[in-house]
Parts: sequence; structure tokens; C-alpha cells
Amino acid sequence: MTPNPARTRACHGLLCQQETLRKALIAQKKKKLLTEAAADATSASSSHFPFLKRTRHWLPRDRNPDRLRRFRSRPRSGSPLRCSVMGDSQYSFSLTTFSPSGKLVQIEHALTAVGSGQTSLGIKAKDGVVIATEKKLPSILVDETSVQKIQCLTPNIGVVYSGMGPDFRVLVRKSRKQAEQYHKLYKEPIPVTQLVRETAAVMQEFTQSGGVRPFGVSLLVAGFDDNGPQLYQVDPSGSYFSWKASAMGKNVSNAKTFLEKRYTDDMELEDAVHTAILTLKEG
Amino acid sequence: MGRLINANDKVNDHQANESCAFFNLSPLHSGLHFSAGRSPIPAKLDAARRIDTPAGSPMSIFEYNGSALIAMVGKNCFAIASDRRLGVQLQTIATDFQKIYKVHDKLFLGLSGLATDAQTLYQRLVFRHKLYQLREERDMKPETFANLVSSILYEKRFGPYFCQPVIAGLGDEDKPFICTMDSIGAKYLAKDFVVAGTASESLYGACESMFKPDMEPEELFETISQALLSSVDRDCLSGWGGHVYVVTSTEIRERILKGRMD
Repeated sequence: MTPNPARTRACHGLLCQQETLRKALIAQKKKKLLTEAAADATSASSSHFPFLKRTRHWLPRDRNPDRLRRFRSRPRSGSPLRCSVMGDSQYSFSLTTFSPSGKLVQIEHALTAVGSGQTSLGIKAKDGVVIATEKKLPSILVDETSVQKIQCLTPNIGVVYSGMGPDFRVLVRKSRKQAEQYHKLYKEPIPVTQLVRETAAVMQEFTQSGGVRPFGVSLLVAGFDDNGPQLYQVDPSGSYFSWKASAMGKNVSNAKTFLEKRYTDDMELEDAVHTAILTLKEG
Repeated sequence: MGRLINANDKVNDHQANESCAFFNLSPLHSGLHFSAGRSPIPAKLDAARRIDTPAGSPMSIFEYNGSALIAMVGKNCFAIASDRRLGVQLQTIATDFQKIYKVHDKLFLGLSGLATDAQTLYQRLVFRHKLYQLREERDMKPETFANLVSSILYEKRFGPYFCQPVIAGLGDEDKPFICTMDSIGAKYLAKDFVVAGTASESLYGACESMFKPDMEPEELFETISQALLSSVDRDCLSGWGGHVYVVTSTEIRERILKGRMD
């Protein structure tokens, strides 16, 4: 389908018009504010705002329409922007922008979402891994067989989560597909490390693309392969860690303290199950 | 070097005849144009695979460069051998051309067929294997590698690499593994030997008669060398010596054979 040259020219013309209009508007605003500042400087009230002379009262032009809209609707009071204090929250709505303190604030918020989710934990035993979570349903009328909080990614890898259920379902689907692709290529079951790495890569993708938000789940991936039993935690930022025992969600500090006390390197699988249940009851 | 004299010559001849009959019905060969000398489909070669020779009768693309490859299984060891000729149809260009490549210490890959495709395919496979080694911090098992080769060949189903790979390696617990596949990735596993190349018909016959199960590395070397040299003597497109690797769990022995240099 060849592009219609006349149409593209017309569109281009329109865009040029818009650009010039926009530039003119901004120039006008600049002029107005500068004259205001100059007027204030001469008047008595300027002593309250000595820094008003040279500050920019607008954010640098950027393409994000959401940000621009928010800027326009903010009431134009006399107080200027204090970057150092309000700096972080200025950047909290956009995922793809670092805050001045070096954080991606959206990911912090995602971790908060995880921290308010149902507790889940995992324990690595000598000959296996245990993952557990409490299936707390909002009412007795809910059909508990339809709610699946622990899912299989392959016949020897399982996963549990804390956070948003729907995000978990999406991740499970993607991970299962990746595991199957690996198997189709190599006719070998995917090692746990590789699957965790690929899942983490998916989660990281969503922290660096436009128009998407990070996943609001942390995963605990438990698997058994040639390297023995393994337990990994994957965060919304895409970082993953291998644990001997870990917990996430509500009451995570209590649960972790309890696990630290009760964990031994040569636990049997039955002991691990028992410890998991006790830890869940603690919360 | 003369032929190995076996006690039961008559029985072995009979076996050789049987193997030829089996060869004609082999699924590898029905519909695909690789065999020594003449095409199994006499009527018409399609344009993509036909090459006009100076002699007149068209050749298959698989016979453009000429090759002979064998892999054989012994007792906790394997051997893989190839000829050394590189030709452009009937003219010999090189007599030291490498057709067997080492992927890692316990995995060897031989590629017969069109030389350019063989080299490109080898580069692609080494690339994939190196990435695998970096990601998984281990070497690929031969079975896994065979599946990878099969997938890569099938990706090009409608514009294939004109190669026939032979894969030989030591798998779990150093158990020898060999396999070959056709140019679009149909795997053919065997417990004893696999052959590929323009000389494959004579190779099948020679291997069938000379092979014994559970041979020690030295005897395996003798057997595979004899099978290779006697078969390439019957094929004008392969020869000019041989290149043999005998691999056990502890060592790799590489030897060059001097046969009829023609």
C-alpha cells in the first residue's frame, strides 16, 4: 500500500502549522511570565520571592501528553517549584524517568503493592522445595477450586506470588510459553535458572517500555533440575535472587525472622512443609 | 593398505547386499536428491538443484563439492572420519579441506554437501553453542545439539541448507551418541554407524560389512579408516586421503590417512 503523497503533504502541512502555533503560544507565555517577574522584581512583594527572577516556571518541553495536561491544569500560584523536596513525586507518574535520587518511583510503588498482598513463602529442603501461601477468599460463597494461587510452569517448576492476581496470570502464561519454546528447541526440560532469567527479563521489559506499567507481583519460583532443588524470588524490577528460605507480602519481617530461626541446611521435605505451615500461621 | 579379511566373507557380502536393498527404501532418500553419483529421481531435477556439468548430464547440488563422512560407535568411545577433497564439480581445488569440526571436547560435527552451506551452518551452530555455554555455564549434550541442528535446518524448510550433518558425541556417563539428518532436519539416530556424502552408498556397504559392536579405540580406528578409504575409492568426487578423530572420555586422537591420492 503506497502512501498517498498528497495526503502526506497535507498532514505534514498541518503538523507544521501546529508546531508553529505551539511555539508561538509558548513564546507568548514566556514573555508574559518574564514581564510579570520583572514587574514583581520592581514591586515590594519581590522581597518575598528573591529567587523568582531567573527560575523557569515551566517544565522542559516533553512529548508526554499526560504530563503536559497536568502541568496546564495546575493552579498558577506565586510559589515556585522547590525541586529538592517535591522532586521525587514530580517523577512518580512516569515510569521511564529516573527521579533525582536515582530511583524509578513506579517500581517502589509496585513493591508496595506486593507488600500489601497475601503472604507467600518458600523453603528449600535437602531434596526438594516447598512453596506455600494462604488462600484467603473474600467470602464463603467463592468457589475455592477456581482460585489457583500456586501454578505449574513445567512439570518440575512451580511458582507462587504476592500481589496482584491478574498480573500473575499474565506472567505465568508468558513463562510457560518460554519454557515450552526451550523444550521445542532442545528437547530438554528448561533449567530453573534459565526460566527465572527469562521471566525476569519480561518483567524488566515492562519497566523500560513506553505506555506500560510494571507488574505488581513478586514471584517465588521453586524447581528441581540437574543442579538440585532451587528457589528464586523475582521482583517487579526484574531482579532475581536465589534463596534458601524467603517470604513476601504482608508480615514479611515476622515471617523472615521466624524462618531464620527455624531454617537448617539439611532439612527434610516433611520438616520444610511443617515449618511453612507454622510460618503462615504466625501472620 | 589391504582390506580387512574377515572369517565369514560370504556372510558379510550377503549383509552388504541386504543393506543396499534397505537403502533404496530408506525414508531419508525418498524424495530428496542426495546420493552418490546419480539422483534417485531420474526424470527431472528441479532447477534449484540442477547443475550442468562440462560432461553434459546435470548433477545435483549436493554433488557440487563432494564429500564422505562416517561416524561409528565403539566401547565408551566414538570415531568420526571424513575425506579431504574439495572440488568444483570434477576439478579438485583443495586436498586438505576440513569437514569435521569440534564443538566441544566431547562433541564433533561433520558437515557434508555444499561447502559454503557447510561452513555457514557451522558458524551459526558454533554461535548458538557459545551463547548456550555462557548462559547455562555447561556444555551442550549431544542429544540437545542434535535437536538444535534439526530445528535450525527446518527453519529453512523452503530454501534449505544443502548439507547433511553427522553429529557424534559422548553424552551422559560418556555414552557415545551418533546421528545424522537430511538437509531439512529429519534426525536419524543409530546405535552403530552413520554415513553421509556423495560416497554414502559405498560407505553403507563397507560399514555394514566391517562393523562390530563394542570395539576398542584402536580397533575402531582401523575399521573406520578401512571403511572410509575403500568407499571413497569408488567415488570420483571424494577422496584424497582421510581425516579421523577417535574420541574417548579422556582423550581425542586426530589422525590423517594417506590413501589413493586421486
